[in-house]
Parts: sequence; C-alpha cells; structure tokens
Amino acid sequence: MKKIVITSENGLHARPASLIVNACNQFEAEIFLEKAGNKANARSIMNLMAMGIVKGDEIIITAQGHDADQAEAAILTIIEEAS
Amino acid sequence: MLKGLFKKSVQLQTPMVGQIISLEQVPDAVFSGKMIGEGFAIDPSEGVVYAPCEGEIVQVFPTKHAIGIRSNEGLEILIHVGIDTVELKGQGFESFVTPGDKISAGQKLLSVDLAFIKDQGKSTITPIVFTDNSQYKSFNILGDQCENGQVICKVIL
Repeated sequence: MKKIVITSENGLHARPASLIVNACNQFEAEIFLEKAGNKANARSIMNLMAMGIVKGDEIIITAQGHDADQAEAAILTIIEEAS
Repeated sequence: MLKGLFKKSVQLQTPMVGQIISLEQVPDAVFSGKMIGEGFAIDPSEGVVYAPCEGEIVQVFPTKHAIGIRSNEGLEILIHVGIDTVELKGQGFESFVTPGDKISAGQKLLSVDLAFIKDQGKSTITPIVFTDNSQYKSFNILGDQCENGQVICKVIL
C-alpha cells in the first residue's frame, strides 16, 4: 500500500489517468486507487476520472498479486510526475 | 437474456453541433493515440453538450470539462470538451447534471463558452471516447456534420 497527496494543479485528469491505465496493463496484479473510502479499479479510466481526484486529495494505492509491489511503485511514480 | 439472437446496438445522437473528425486528428496524443479508447471527435460550432443517448451520468469532472456517461445498454462514453481544458479550472463551463442523474438523448448536459476557451489558447476540439473496448464490437460514424438531434454514430455491442 502506498499513500500520496496529489500536488499537481490539475489533479488526476485525462492525461495522468490514461498513463495509469496503460501502466496497469504491464502488471497482473489487481490495482486500486482509494480516495476518502471510495475504491476504484485503476484499470478503468472511467472509474479513475469518476473519483474526481483534485489537488490536495490523499490517495491510497493498493495492489494484490505477485507483482503488486512493482505495480504500486509504478503508479506512484506516474502520480508523482503528473502535471 | 436472448443475447446473440439479434445484433444489439446503441445509436448515438449529436453530442455537440459541428464537424465530426477522427480521433487521429485530435491535437493531443492521449486521444489521437487512443490511450483512453476508440471513438471520434467533434470540432464544435455551438457551445452546448447534449446527451448522446439515454442513460446515466457517471461523473462530471470537478472542472466540468469532462463528463462520463453510461448508456442504458451499459456502454461507457467519455466526452472531453476541448484539449487541456482542465487548466481552465471550470471557467467557461457550466454543468446541468450531477452524477447519478438519469439522462435522455438530446438533453442539455453542459454549456461551454467556446470563445473563452479559444481566447485562452486552448483547442475546443472535443473527443468522444468509448472507454471500455470490451463493451462493444465496432462502431460506425454516419456522416461528417453533426446537427442537433441527428443520429451520428452506431455502436455494435
């Protein structure tokens, strides 16, 4: 599990959300993003954008599966680098 | 469910009045590269987003420039008004719907100030994307101009 506070001005909009979805395709793990108790499957762009994640939100990344650690690290990097 | 007995399809009406263009022509790699999915785009002449079909509002992004819809048949559609318009932080956009709202085809969803968006140096080209490609087999675009109330796309489920 990894936690991160969103610092990018535009939050998790289409561009970073699409990068997350594409990154998930490299892994077999089940990957979820959670905001304020709401969990969304990170493989679904609609679910990700539906969370309406904005600057200042705290997000929890959780993955389950043999490559869960790598998946969480990859998603974390994308969010950190998002603008 | 008598699936397979006849071809199920969803007919989509004009989401924005204007010119229909292909996703490849959208000036942003996220859409032209089909990273979010397949679909088409509109170069709008009118600043209104209409519901393309009967269904439900899944989400309205906080900056009101993107709207997620699920048709009655379950087809997920993302309407992303303009390119990089998230940076406008809601300015120039007005929403008439909230998540969970049931919508009918042709219903007004968003009001958009096209002139303002262009003044801010942003493209008003609006991709319409089917975000889950496991939900449909194919789709056809029926023409190159979008008039209000016109059926412009047929999606085969």
